[in-house]
Amino acid sequence: MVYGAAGAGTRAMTSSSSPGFSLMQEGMSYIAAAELPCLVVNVTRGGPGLGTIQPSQGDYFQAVKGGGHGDYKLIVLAPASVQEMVDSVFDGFRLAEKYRNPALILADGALGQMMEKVELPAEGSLPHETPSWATTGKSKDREQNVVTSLFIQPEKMEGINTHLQAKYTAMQSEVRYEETMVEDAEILVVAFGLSARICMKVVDLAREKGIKLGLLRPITLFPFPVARLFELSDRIKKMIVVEMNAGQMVEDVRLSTNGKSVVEFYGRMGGMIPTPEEILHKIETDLI
Amino acid sequence: MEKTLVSPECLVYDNHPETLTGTPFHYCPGCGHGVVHKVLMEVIGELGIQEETIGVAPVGCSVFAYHYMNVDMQEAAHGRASAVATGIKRVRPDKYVFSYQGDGDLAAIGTAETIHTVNRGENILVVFVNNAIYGMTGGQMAPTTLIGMKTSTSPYGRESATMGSPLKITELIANLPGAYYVARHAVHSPKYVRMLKKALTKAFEYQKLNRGTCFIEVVSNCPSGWKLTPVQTVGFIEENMLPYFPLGEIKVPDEKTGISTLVKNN
Ligand SMILES: Cc1ncc(C[n+]2csc(CCOP(=O)(O)OP(=O)(O)O)c2C)c(N)n1
Ligand code: SF4
Ligand SMILES: [Mg+2]
Repeated sequence: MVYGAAGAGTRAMTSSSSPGFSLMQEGMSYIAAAELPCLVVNVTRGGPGLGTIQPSQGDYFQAVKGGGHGDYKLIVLAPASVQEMVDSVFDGFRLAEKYRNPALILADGALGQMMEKVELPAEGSLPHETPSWATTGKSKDREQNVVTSLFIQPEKMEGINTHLQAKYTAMQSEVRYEETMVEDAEILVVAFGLSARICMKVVDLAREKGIKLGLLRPITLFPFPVARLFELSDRIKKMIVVEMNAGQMVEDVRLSTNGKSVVEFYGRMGGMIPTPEEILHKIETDLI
Repeated sequence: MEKTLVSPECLVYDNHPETLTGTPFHYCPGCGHGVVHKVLMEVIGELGIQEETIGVAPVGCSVFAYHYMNVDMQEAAHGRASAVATGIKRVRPDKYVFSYQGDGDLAAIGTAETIHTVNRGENILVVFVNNAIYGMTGGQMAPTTLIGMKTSTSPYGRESATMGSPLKITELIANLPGAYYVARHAVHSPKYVRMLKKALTKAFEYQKLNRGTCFIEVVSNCPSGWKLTPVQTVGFIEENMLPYFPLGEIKVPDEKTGISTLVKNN
């Protein structure tokens, strides 16, 4: 339905939680291939399988590496507060429409149920015009519009893939992250979403003990802050990635730092939320 | 336009409605898909709604329907055409929206979409081309394959004990309150083609009334999948398909009250 509505030129979005989003992977692949802008929200719960309804970050791979078939990417935003959840709806649509690409908000079951004060943008909704490629009815003055992901000749299909990959490369300019006490940090925590929020507290606790800890929080998971992490790894030789999963984003941090830093991992799984104290304990025992 | 495909001495027909692009069909000789395409597009042309119509193509032999149908179209994932059509109609309620689907698409992988689309009474037209086989992928058994029919995945013939009975999905959905107009037609003789044309015209007119889903099954053929000549398929349809999939209206609205009821004997 989102495919149809987006293809007909309107703003369309849907939301789900892990098992439901797994079911949607077919659609995500088609929407990405047909280059339809839309927004999807996955309020992640613990898995695999039916799992639990408690918060988790176990769908990182599914969000940033694909999930459906074929070479495609979603724009992935990882809010860490209710305000950011609101903002990412606007950012999600803005980026989706700019790049004609589906955007995903990757939240978790805790953020999804959190209550915090928010400010809605004063300017209201983003302006929207019906795109010229949309199926709105073929008027006499133009050729038919077709929304499709079928390009049967391999030469054409490779061309489409090349175009998509160029688009994903161009998206790198949209990378966003937040740094806390990174300037003098000797150890860097990398975490997103709820984990990052917990790690803010870890930075405070560590600093009280005289440990020079900093935090890098990717806000966009795709595009990923590859360049910034590569740069930081020249100076910061010890890093730790904290996630509510078995270790997913840690792979991207290791790829980004390319062996220049030691990258440790701490994670809880299956709906368990790590406490600041246990994270600090891990840092004190393994990185100091 | 690849007109050169047909040499002048072989050209028996050179008049297509403006609503067809003129691209030669890729269908096998004698295939019903081309006839259904032409009738559907003729109706859209005659009703003067080409500019207001948005179609959805399926996955199946008619996957390239948008190469031939000269209206705005979207290509859906296998079985999801009626869900895509729902999305279009919900945001463009003033347009005419149709989905065009095969039996594998509509009655196997897309069963859930089909049933829920009709159950919601989406105000669209579903054109369901039933050739009792998966034509595109090389003639595998479909939910509509008849008992005894040999296909590449039922080489000894379909039998109900292990493969179930041919699914009459049209009768099934006709029972749903959201179904407004339901009929079964065929294209293997000019008489039936004319009847199909009338039904399609009615269905588009009903869409203006906003009263529910119009669903038209077309009993068609697949010479390649059935391993019969086009002429032999006509006999097969008459002798085997029609007794099981009887033609006619299945659910019709009352002209005055607008309330739809099932036609008796169905
Ligand atoms: C999810 C998925 N499964 C399987 C296929 C392969 N496939 C392509 S067409 C088709 C069957 C089409 O049969 P039908 O809908 O009866 O159309 P016909 O070709 O007979 O007109 C299948 C299974 C696919 N494209 N996508
Ligand atoms: S395989 Fe069957 S359905 Fe497909 S074009 Fe050929 S005859 Fe038609
Ligand atoms: Mg078929």
